[in-house]
Amino acid sequence: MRSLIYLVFFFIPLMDSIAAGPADLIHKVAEKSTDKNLNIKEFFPVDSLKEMHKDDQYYQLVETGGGDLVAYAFASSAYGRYEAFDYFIIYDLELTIIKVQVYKYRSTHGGAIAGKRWLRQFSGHKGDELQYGQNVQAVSGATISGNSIVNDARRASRLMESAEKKLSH
Amino acid sequence: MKRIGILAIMMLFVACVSGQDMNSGERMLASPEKLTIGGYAQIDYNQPLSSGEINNGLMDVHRLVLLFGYKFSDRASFVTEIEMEHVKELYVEQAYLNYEILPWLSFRSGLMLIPMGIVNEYHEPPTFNGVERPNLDKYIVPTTWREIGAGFTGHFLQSGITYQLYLVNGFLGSDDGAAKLSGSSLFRSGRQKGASSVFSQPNLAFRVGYTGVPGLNTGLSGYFGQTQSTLLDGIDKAVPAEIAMADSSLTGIRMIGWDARYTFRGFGLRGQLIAGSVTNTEEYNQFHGSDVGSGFLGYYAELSYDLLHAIGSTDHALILFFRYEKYNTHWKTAGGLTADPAYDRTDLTLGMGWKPVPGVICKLDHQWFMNNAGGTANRQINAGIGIWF
Repeated sequence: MRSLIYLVFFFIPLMDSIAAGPADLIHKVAEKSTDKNLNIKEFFPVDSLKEMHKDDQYYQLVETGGGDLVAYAFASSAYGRYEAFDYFIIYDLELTIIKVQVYKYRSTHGGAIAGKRWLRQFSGHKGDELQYGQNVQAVSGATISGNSIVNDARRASRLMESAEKKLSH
Repeated sequence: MKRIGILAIMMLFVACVSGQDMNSGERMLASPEKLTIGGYAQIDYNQPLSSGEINNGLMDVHRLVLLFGYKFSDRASFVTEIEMEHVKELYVEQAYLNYEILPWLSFRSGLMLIPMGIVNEYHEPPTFNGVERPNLDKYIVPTTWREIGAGFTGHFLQSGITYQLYLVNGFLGSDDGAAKLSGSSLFRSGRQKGASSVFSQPNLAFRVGYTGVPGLNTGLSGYFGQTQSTLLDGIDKAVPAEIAMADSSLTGIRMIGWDARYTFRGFGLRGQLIAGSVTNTEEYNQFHGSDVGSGFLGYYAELSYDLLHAIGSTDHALILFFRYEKYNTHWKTAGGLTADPAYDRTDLTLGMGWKPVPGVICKLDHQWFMNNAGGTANRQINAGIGIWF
């Protein structure tokens, strides 16, 4: 019995490291928030290379069967005080934010910005409208992470706009 | 040879595929950003004011702290802060290994900050108002309070719950029969700071935090245990007199704390309440000739407003604040000890902070110190700069 427990404890860390990238999670969350069956595919925008980070990932979400484009998604990492955190944004076709989710936050401090209710403030806005401390409420103990995710969401929106222009032509 | 060639192609294929599927954690692992350098500093000027006499001021490089973090893998990291206090004193403020077992569960061990109240863990100058830390966070919570230990920490991201649960070394209550605890500043001189620290019994420290409501950051902390004593070392288990003597040098500690920070449209509200008890103080005081109280209570409330918020500034801030603080280290006393009214203190702080960019602050404030023994309030003006990178 005891060795079984040891075995479980030994394998839990390994199991976690096998976990896939954000695509599966984005797919799941997008289906839930749009109430549609979707397929997800990654694309690579070539515009605005200067603003692109190596962690960026861009997705299109297409309705299963019909093939209509339903939403876009963007995933990346941003920096808190000392450590990066991973997040994604799901946009509608006008690039209005449907949902933001932080799916990996590494530091002990500043994790407040990963809270569901705090991130809900982003929904309904275009990325470039977001301002930390103004239409996005500031959080004590998470100033750097809060500023960082807002700035990165603004960057994401610029990138998505140029990518969307390219795609729709 | 051919077989090796096929194997190499297969491996290359696997490498390409896994390269595409790397999550950002793995990508960070592959990136050279393993070493982090950071730090903070506060340089203070304190000028006591009194009408009848001349007072010299104090100019001090109060704290200069350098942080180094090293990421061995996405799971294992080491963080250390090297502190120079008052230019001449060298300390290690933190030095711990963190190992992430699961996203919500990390093992941590080393020299760690005790999670009690706000300032002990968040003490970088731009994060608090006033040149000096609140006095509650000096006389009751002995910031910067850190000891060697081990435990678990983690967060549940979406719901906004964080926790820390540590077993740590306690205060040194008695050093060869000399009292390290006092009526005025409680445990402050008993901090061992991980420097050849004496260990006889572990203490439990925990905090549960909640950040699920936008703008709110609140938490409940607890600390339970016993002080350590050098007199325990080498006593004969069979000699009751020796054990009794050593017992007189020990006290039990229970401390609980509640803290909250809330920001809303340029307004900031923060408060903290710390209460606790010290057991066996009658024997301890008798044995050491000391005056440690058996109960302590302190709290503060602070309101601030960022004047530049109204004109839409997000980075640049000019903060006005007022803090009311009350703390009594003789809230309760045991045995023949009468409570000293001078230990029942009230501080008022009115001041401002200018943050031209995040991470930089210039501070100016005026403080009034009063206590229950009467007399006029002592006053002090403080000015200082603080940085954090």
